[in-house]
Amino acid sequence: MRRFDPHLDDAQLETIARGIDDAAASARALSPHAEPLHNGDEPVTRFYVSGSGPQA
Amino acid sequence: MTDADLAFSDATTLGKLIARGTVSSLELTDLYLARLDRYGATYGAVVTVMHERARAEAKRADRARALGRARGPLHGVPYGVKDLLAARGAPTTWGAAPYREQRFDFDATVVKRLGAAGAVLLGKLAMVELAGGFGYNDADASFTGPGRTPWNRDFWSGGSSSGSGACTAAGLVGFAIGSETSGSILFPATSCGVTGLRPTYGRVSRHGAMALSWSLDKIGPIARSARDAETVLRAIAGSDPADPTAVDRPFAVPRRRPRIGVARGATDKTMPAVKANFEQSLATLGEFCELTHDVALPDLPYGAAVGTIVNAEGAAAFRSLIESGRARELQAKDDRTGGYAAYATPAVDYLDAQRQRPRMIAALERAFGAFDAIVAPTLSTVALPVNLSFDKAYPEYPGTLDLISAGNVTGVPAIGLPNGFGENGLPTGLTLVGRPFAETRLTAIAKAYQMRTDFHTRRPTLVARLT
Repeated sequence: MRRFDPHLDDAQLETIARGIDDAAASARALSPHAEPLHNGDEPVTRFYVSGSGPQA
Repeated sequence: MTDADLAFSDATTLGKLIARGTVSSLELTDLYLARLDRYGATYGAVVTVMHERARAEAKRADRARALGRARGPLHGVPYGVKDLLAARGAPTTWGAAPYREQRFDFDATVVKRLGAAGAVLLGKLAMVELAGGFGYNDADASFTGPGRTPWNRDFWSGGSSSGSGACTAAGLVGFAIGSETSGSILFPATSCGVTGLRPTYGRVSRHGAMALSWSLDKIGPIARSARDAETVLRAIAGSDPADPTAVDRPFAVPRRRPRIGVARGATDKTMPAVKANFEQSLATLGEFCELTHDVALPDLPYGAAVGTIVNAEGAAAFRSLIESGRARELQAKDDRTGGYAAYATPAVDYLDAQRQRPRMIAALERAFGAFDAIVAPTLSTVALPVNLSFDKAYPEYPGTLDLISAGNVTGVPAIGLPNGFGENGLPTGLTLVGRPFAETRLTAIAKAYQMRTDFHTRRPTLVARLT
């Protein structure tokens, strides 16, 4: 990240690394063992709420 | 009627007073401008007071009224907007030092619609920098300083619509506009003891608003009553060629006797006052609603999905800021590094979060069953202290329910209402979460609740500008 901000100090880089680890740990919950995502589970590519989407 | 009585009246009352000629829009605008100047900075609540524009709009509103051309219940009523909405005549800072001088030469659609309804724009209200997208962990997260709740200056007004909540609670505006990606209307509404309405995703155009997360951002009112929130929502709702996500949908017809599900675990690990006030609220709601207790929210990773989506979309939205290295200019220590961590979000995690959303929508729909709303305390505690990082404030009261993430990731509406007071004289609140595009079922319940309670009419004692 120092390519973006050469002033980042070591403590800040450590904080960033910890942030990346925390986010990765949190993201593991996105496909839980009990109900994992399957091959056919498609992502929302344009979010809409029932009744407001392209089909409505 | 004293100036304070006027200033703290709800917008519905103000509209009626203007219509009757009891007060002119210009008189009311001058009153609010003076209050914004006097109290705004004390609460870290204001970025720019727009004296000239406000007085010009008020004069126009009075002229139109004199000619019999009043435009409805908001005609002549002064309001403020969170400083992520573009408005001609003032900077639009997004609460962040790198954007202090940013200006747009157009009005956001919401500002245009309120103008068309005859409302008067008073100014731009303070907010957490970048709407909190970079993971701040303390109240000092805006270049205007920490937002403070008018109920006790030592405590945070909540965020990210900090100034919208504080100015509404302090009677510095007739009503305010905030925005919510995940909690940014409900949180400050609760901490400031006012009413916040988060509309369904797609109900209100975001054109001219700062984007944090395209698939989560919503714009809605913060007001001194539920009836105001509904009136403002009706004025700003609807499709907009400039925002393809915005749609026209009818407002749902309220049921005579609403059905409400009380969320399971709603008061687990909440402050005693939050629990006691919520139980009292249920007794009040039970006077006119059918209540079903112990309704389980499906156990799905709502918080993880919201966090991943905000990280990925937020990093993309602010890619140029991150890559410029200017994140170092942000106020909050955690915001200076949070953008870099977000920038490293793997695409597969983002897609998995978006793959979970259809499941979550279906699961929440099943949980709703025949209910008009699911109810829970909005927050597990009262407002957070300004001088402590959030994770150290009330570790013993984390709550167990994540209705804010669940509601935001599925795009459904919610209304937050004040329901009492707790530690340090700070307000507590409850939230009613509704079905898609059924905001008026929520406001019908909220209006009936507020007819039976007076928490929304209480006034904090204000402190003038400190020298």
